[in-house]
Amino acid sequence: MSRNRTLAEGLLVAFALVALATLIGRGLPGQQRLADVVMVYLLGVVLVSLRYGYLASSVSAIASVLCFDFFFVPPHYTFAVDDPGHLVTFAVMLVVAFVISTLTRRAREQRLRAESEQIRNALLSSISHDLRTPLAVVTGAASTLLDERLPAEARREMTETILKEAEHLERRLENLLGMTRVEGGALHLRRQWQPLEEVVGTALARTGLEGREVEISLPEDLPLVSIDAGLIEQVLVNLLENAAKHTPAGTPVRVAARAIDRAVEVEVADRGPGIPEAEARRVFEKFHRLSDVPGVGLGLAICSGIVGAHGGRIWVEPRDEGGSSFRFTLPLVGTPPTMEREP
Amino acid sequence: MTTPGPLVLLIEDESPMRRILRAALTANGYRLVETATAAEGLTQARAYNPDLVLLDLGLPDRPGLDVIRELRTWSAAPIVVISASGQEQAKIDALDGGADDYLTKPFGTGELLARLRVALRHAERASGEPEAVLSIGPLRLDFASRVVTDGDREIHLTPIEYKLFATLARNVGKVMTHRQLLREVWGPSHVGETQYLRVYMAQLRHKLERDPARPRHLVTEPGVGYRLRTES
Repeated sequence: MSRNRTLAEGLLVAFALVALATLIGRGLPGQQRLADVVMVYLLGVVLVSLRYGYLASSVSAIASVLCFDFFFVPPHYTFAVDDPGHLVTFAVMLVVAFVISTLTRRAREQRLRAESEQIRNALLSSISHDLRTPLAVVTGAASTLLDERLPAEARREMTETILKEAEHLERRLENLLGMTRVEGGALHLRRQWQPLEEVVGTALARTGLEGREVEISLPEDLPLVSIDAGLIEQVLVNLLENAAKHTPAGTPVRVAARAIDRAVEVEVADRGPGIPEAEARRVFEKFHRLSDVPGVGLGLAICSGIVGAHGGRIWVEPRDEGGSSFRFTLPLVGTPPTMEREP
Repeated sequence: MTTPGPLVLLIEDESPMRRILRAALTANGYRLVETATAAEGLTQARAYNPDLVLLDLGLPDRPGLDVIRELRTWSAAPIVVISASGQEQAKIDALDGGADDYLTKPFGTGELLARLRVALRHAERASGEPEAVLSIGPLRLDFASRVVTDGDREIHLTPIEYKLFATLARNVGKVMTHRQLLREVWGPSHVGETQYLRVYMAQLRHKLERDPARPRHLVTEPGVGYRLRTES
């Protein structure tokens, strides 16, 4: 999320909480005790500083004191003050608000720093391992090719190896870039109404499923979906490639969709070893990898980001007949275009 | 001595890429003129009048679209553009602006040669008599009688479905952008309504393809448009 948006959101939340505190203060039973009201305002300041930065918490602290003065300190509905003792209350309230917000913010920043450090380390180690392994193969194969005594058959084999590893590299880079797009908030959807079938088709054309039987089950009356075709294609490709990577060669894969209430549910299912229940959630986390099958561990995290941006959710469940069924929903937002029927 | 191969003008600023393309093209009988900048490319185009232009969209001196527009003021030679991923819009603009086809880096030599073949064949056909019949496997389209058959069976197409199929068929092998298809089939005031196109394309696939979810001939070029492919 961009800085500006966070700040705007923080200010909005700050003002909303001050207004809420004022309403709650006014609603307190009996004779309004000023100390109780102060507590309610301070709670608002804490909540703001838990999520937002310095500016938002400061604004929330100052707005709280001003509202407290205006609405609760006699004479009401002016910023004038009868009893000079109340000035001390204001000062203490302001100081407490600033101290609390500083402490909360510091704790939050520390946690965020630790998290981003962890992510950076994981990213570096996966880049160095998963990008360098294919690179090493390419270097090795290319230098072997320089040897002129190499028989034609070995030559061909080396060339094919280079091609295959380069394709792997390309795909992994694409995933890394995809993740930065999903994470960086640069993901603006270019939604268009379309039949899901076409996206399924382009995803299948892009995925090397090497001779696997693919069962496709798309009802003819499936409603049009409003999606960013390129991104949903990426979701399907990642799911299909996972199926190809993690299940025994030659086992079938199934792609299906059905209309549910105000949404279309899409399924990519395999007949592989399945996913332990304890892992079912974690597989969608960044850098989480199920086994030692090579990969960066970003594919499902990207899927989750893209589906989330479409307002849907993604999950995995075991199949009765064995294997895993990855499912995601695409909510039907807005009204589909009307198409005139041809004679 | 056999007839000399087609003359290709290659405008590409990266020298490793030029080296690879040179090897692939000369090995397959093409003759080659190479330049690294748009300005020089335009000069060479006038000097050599090439049969085909292979143009990289990421040139340092001028946008590829400029080069296409300028070439199109006097030359009808097919232009195939080379784009990097992430240049999606530049690619579409190039096609709408008069380029004939595109390749996205990284691409294989097989794909490159196939694109050049289609572009050259298309240019040749455009200058001669239009073909009366197109056959793709068991499918047959007779332009004069407007009849489509699958083996012995006649396939009923609605007027729009026929127009869409015939437009793709007249440009067989070549990519057609959403915009180009919408303009041809629905008219210039409908060029933004891609949902029509997608829905009719789906209907056409259900009538003409064995497995509509995995089309062999009516293929999607993601984000760009469609292509009628004969070989598969």
